[in-house]
Amino acid sequence: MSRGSCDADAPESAGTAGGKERTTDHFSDETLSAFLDGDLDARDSTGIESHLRECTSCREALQELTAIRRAAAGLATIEPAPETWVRIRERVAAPPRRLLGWTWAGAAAAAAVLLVVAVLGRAFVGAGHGPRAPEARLREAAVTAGTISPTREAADAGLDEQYREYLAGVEAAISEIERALAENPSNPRVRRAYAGAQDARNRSFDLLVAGGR
Amino acid sequence: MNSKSNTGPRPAGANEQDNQPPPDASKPIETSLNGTAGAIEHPGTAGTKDDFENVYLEHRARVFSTAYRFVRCRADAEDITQDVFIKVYRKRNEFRGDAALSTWIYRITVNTALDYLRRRKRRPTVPLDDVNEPSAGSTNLTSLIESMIPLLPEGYRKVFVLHDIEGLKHNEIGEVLGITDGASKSQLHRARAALRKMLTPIVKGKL
Repeated sequence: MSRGSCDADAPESAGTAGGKERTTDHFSDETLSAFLDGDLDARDSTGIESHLRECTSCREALQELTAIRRAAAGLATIEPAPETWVRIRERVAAPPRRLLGWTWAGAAAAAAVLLVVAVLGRAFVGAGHGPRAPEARLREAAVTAGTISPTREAADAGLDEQYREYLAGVEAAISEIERALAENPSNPRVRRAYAGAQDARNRSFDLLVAGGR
Repeated sequence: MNSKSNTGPRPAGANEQDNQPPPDASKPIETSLNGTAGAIEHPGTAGTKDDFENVYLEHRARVFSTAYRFVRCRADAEDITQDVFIKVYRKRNEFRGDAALSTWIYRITVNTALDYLRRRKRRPTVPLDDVNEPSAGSTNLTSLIESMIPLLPEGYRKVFVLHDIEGLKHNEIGEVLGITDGASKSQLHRARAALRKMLTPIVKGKL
């Protein structure tokens, strides 16, 4: 399959047949492949046909490209396993119910944690603290309100964990609802759930940044 | 678009007992996604053969084969096939009939397979039980070509699989891949040239 020199009677000069690429004395594989598929115009094809009568190397290349094309066409189509359809059917049937279930569970969890944060926020406002770092103010509010722990360390850990859980719940709910929305963009229940979850997230940030004000 | 005989090995470990029988491919089917609203909303209801199932029956082998040519792994091709038909079902309202359904499904298949490979951040895997290792003693050109397809650059591979294996025309490939007919032809001829170059040291003088 190597590209040797042309036969003794092959054309001596490099050049083109109708402008098609030739490497020294031979046509490129790309050009021969195009010739094989009939993609060249009549002038180019005539030039290549003429060359092929004289060049063993290009004839071999064309034969090999023909063999590649034929072998590729002979590759068998393969069936998926029988259980593939069963799994597809299960997945098609399952997502809407699962997504909505997640949505409501996530919204409920988010609402519960939101209540905790709101209580802490109000306690903070009542304490009349100045503008400090939001996390520090919430932690101090929690200690002042006596809802978590009298010690600063315990308050830090408790509030951080609760806030992280809260945000994770809200974000998870929003993600699930967004997926449900992509599938049911006009479903009013999903749209309401999405609006509610977004509102919960916004309120959580308000509480964190403004200390409940 | 062409169709070939469908026979294929099954993945190891398939649990026969837990599986329902596959849809009956011998029965006549119609290619439609929107013909029976009730059926398409509840695919696979007991004992019925709905539009979605018909679409699966008609296109499953092409989807699976195309995916397999890209990833060279039956388990991955099974996953891709599932993902493709889930997308077909969920996006059925986006199919407006501007192109053939098969073209639309091919487009989803190619994109899903390529996304799959990119997510894995790997070259296509070649499991030992799936491959006919290229060797100087092998003259099975079909097997050699199949094993070398994943080594082609992505652009070459897409067009070669769709044209020379799946039998799509260049205008159909253009619709699937969003490229011109000329670009499709160019990629195809380069793919064949690349394959010939790879095959040369293995099957010299045997083609």
